[in-house]
Amino acid sequence: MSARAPSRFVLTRELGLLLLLGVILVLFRVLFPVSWEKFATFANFASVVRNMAFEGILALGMMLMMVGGAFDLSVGATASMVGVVTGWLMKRGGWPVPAAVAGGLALAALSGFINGFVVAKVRVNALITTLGTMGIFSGLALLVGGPGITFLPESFAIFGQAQFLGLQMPVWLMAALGLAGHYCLAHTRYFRQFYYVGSNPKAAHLSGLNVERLQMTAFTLMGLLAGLAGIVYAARVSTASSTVGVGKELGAITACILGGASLQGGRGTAWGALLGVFFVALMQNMLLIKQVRPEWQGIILGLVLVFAVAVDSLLNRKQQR
Amino acid sequence: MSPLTMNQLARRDLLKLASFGAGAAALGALTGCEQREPAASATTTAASSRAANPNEEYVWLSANANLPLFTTHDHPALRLAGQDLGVKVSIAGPNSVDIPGLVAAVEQTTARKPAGMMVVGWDPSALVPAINAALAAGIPVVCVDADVPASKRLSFIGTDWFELGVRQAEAMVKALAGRKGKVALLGLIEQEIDQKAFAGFRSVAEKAGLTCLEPQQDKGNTAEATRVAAGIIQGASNLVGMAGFDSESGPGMAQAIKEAKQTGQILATCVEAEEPHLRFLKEGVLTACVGQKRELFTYLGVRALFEVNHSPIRFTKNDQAAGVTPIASGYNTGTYTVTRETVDFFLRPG
Repeated sequence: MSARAPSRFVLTRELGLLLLLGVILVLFRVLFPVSWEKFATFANFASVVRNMAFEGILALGMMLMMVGGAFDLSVGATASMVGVVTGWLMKRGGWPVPAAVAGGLALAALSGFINGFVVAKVRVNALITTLGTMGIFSGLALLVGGPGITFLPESFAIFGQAQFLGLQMPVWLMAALGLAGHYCLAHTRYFRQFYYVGSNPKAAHLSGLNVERLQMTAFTLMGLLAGLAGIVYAARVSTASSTVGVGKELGAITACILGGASLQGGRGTAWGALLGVFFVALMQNMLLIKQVRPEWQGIILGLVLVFAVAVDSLLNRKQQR
Repeated sequence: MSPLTMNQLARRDLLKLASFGAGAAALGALTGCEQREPAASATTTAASSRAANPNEEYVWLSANANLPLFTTHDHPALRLAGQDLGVKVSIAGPNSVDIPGLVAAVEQTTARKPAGMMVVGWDPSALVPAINAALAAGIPVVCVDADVPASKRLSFIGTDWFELGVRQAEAMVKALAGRKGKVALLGLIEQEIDQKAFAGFRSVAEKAGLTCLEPQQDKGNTAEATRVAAGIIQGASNLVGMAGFDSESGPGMAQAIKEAKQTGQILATCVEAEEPHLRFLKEGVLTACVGQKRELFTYLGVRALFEVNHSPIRFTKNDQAAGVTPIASGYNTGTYTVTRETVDFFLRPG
């Protein structure tokens, strides 16, 4: 079994991304001093991390999936569906807030479990399975939520709007989940099994690991995190929107790859996932503050992403030689 | 052992997919991949007395066909028109922004030879051949909501987006009451209708001494609109207003303004007047919402197509051969502006 647990290489890749971010920040400060003054404020930092929290929570789950060698395209749709179902339960179903949240999370776990069951037990490819469930969950979100469920109760909104040290709850939740994810992946025997499964599922199976159960666990946790992201976002805006997660799955996958994951599995860390999301969010914020035309924003962001991954790939090959 | 990586798609997987996909397709049908409304009983309207055939079918085609805006406004009015005229109406098109999928839906519907088609022009160029082919096959086609002006469609029924931009700017200038500064514009910048709205907004705002920033892309997603608006608020000095031109811009901008504690300092106007928009309007975060009379798109669309088939008015000995139709070449369905004073008329109870 040739599993690559969080190794020196993975750390180097993440540090490389941090270094690149540092270089970009220095260049931004030197080249655009007026924009820098608007960028380098606590209010702007708080705004950036607040707006990355939704994708950050999705990326943490996606990283676990990718470490285990799979990914889940239905996460955005799951987040939308769970958000509107939770909103529907408390607003139109008359459920108390804790019961509605519990109901939403149960649905989230069930959605992930269904994905995991179809992939691990029925043995349908993860790409196809989650592409199918993405359509199903999106449709259900639209059926239940319509144009959105508004005026959610204050006692629910507080979960997304309360502040601590100037940062809103979704940011702290993302940070707490990041720490928990880091601890689990780096320090617990159970979660380290995902690196083995992702590196070589057949070898992992032959060495006695219950690969199917691990896969189902990964999908169920992913569903749970996606649902949590949807619920917390609904609390933040006091509205459950049936389309809030559209396209977020690709953002989460991009951030994970940028933060050290591999499409082949067996690589990645929780803090790498958050670093990937943070890198993209900061780049987007700099371009917005500089008031770059949106067409150029896409080009610049795309070039930086390709550059970051290409440099890492070249360094990796050099190290392997 | 289950294959996990995405490049390991085996034939066995595809066979399993077929059964899995069949189940998904069944559920998809429930959520409206193609919905056919039952033929309504003939009514006593003047139009239905002009020999409406209950098997006559009028099809509405769009990408993102189950968008909440459509299901809340366009689809119910479509059914109502069908009932009024005693004809069948149906809905077709992909449930995502899939332009090739929409083109395929138009072509497949043409092959069925319905009595008329209403096409939402998501793409002003890609839909041209499919619309022209339908017309060449003798099927009347009108564009609704968004136009395909390069096609030979018989009419366009929808909002004048330049005017919509004007309405937003008028509401903002009035609310600013002489304050000068910068105004940010958000929307789907690649859409022709949004570009017209930006132009309409500028035509009024700039005359009033406001400086309009370069329009920014919010991808028609509330979370993205919030992120973009939050960045603009941090970056632009002397920002006094924001105007949003896709359906999700309004709630997204309002959330960013609220979180930046700029309510009342930065005024915001937007298109559409759905529950999430109205909520922010009631809270005072949004200043005005300019709603489209969406129900008229499909209601007038079915009626226009019906007139093409049944109108007693003749302009020539053979109007069809002469290329003359008995309907207007365009219907501006107009807009309405919702403010804090009128918001309660629009909010649904509960």
